[in-house]
Amino acid sequence: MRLDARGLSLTRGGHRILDGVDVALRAGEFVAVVGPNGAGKSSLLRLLAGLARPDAGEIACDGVPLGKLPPRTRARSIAYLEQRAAVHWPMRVDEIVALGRLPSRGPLGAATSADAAAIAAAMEMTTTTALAGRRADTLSGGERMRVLLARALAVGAPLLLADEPVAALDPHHQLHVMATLRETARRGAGVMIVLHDLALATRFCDRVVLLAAGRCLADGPPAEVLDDRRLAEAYAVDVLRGSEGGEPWILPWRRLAPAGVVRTGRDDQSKPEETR
Amino acid sequence: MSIVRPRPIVPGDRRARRLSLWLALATLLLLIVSIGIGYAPLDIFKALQDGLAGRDSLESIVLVELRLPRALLGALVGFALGLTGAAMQGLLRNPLADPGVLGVSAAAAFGAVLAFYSGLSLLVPLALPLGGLAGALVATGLVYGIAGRGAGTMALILAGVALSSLCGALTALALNLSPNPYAAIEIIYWLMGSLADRSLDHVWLVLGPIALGTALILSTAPALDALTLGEDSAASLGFDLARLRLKLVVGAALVVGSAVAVSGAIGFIGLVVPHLVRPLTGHRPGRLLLPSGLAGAVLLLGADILVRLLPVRPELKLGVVTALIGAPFLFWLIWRLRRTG
Repeated sequence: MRLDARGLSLTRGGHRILDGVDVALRAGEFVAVVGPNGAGKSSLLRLLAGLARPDAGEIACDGVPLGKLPPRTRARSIAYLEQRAAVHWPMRVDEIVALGRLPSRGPLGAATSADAAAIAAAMEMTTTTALAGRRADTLSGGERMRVLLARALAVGAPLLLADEPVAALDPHHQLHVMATLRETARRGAGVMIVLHDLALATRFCDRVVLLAAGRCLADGPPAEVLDDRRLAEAYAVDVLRGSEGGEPWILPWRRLAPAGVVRTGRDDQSKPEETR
Repeated sequence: MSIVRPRPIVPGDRRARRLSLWLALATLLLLIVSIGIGYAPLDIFKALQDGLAGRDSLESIVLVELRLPRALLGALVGFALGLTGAAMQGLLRNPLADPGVLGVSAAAAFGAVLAFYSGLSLLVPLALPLGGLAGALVATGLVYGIAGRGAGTMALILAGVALSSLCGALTALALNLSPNPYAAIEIIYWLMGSLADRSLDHVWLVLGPIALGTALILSTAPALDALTLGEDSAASLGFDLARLRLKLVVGAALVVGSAVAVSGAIGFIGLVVPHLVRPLTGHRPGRLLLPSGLAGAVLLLGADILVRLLPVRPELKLGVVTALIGAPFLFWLIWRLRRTG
């Protein structure tokens, strides 16, 4: 299964959030969407998940326009994990993960052994099995994030869109979740995540989509997309690079003067830093 | 030949089913107690025999015209309030939401007061509850008209608050303009909520709307479960939130509108009962609906039995008693929220 989006534009409150973005997600791919704050990453993911309609442009899921898919079919095809996701009632962890099976349930909602297997596998992958009997309000931020990721994995959808799934995690679990998501992609799913950590994107992802001010600056393998010029243009930072055991790494090191940085249209950022 | 595979049942579902069963039994028991309790001694068996044989003895009239409607309405109104309270708390993801949060209760009360005030209730026997139901349905239309078809939850709440204030003001205006103090006192007493002196006609009138509204509300259980994760996540799980809101608003109007139309304003049941039952259902909002309705029936039947057992005459209004029990519970809830939050 694959998602293809062409010419996506979105305007909210007179502010252009996305401006003609083309992007695709294919089976077996692990893609990171990166870019500075306010670049439109989360909005892009919501559009791709079918949670909002673009003002212009089209999204197709295996050639079928996303808006034409019945909601339950869409839910079984595309799993989505929202940014800063919350759990509003202190439900048990295993029941939260089980919510991911709702799109697969019949009208009477009885759980099947396939549901139980999907739930167990998702909890195994996110190392949340030991948390199964805990109440949501006793979890730490990082534990909650992993439980919610397990919920999204439990859907068993061929496409997974996750908005900052590692934001609240310690380094150990960041590496673990990235490896889990890469493994999910290796098993045939298309996985797209919003990410701020360029080092993780470089190391784990097959492809990086660099957004800035609602436009797609580059889309390709991490080594090509995250070059010095583009990082300076998008983030106004200078980076250190190296490689360890054949794997490249990247570390943001110094801020650059924001002149020449692509910013959203309403801000006047053209003055050099020294004169302010 | 097919192999029957055992279906794994989530233990929480089984516990909730058992809870519903116990609560249903308790409701049945209290129904019988409620029928057995009254101001005049009643030989239930003679009343039943006469009633079933169609003999209009005093006993059978007391049973059919007084005791039975009162008990049945107690169960229906309590169920309506408990169910809708749980549904509204689930929809708004807020433990302080009550059945009237969308303005339906205030509108139903105003509709009934209007029937009172216009004198219609003297001409048409069921004008009062009909006026209440009409008020609730008009209110739903208004809430939806104000908030719009694709309205977010916040717009719905604001529309409900605005509508409640407006209906409260109009009810006060009706009192202010009432032709004589007795009419005003009668309206005030009715607003306090009671199940006394209702007939089986009241039961038949609200049975349909409550059944329909209950079906609508219960059908939203999976969506309410999903909403625990937030609106975007619920939508990503295939639930249409605009349709969910429409179902719940119409369901609440039918169920709560009916309840207020026949009993007046009975507060706190819809707010308090979901909290009592929620921990027993694993805090899962969809699974909470049915047990919360049944617990509402148990609590209201219990309160209505209490007002008849208390040595206070004329009997205390039911709405007064539920508020007196419910308000301290709310204090306790806030105290607990403060401790955990």
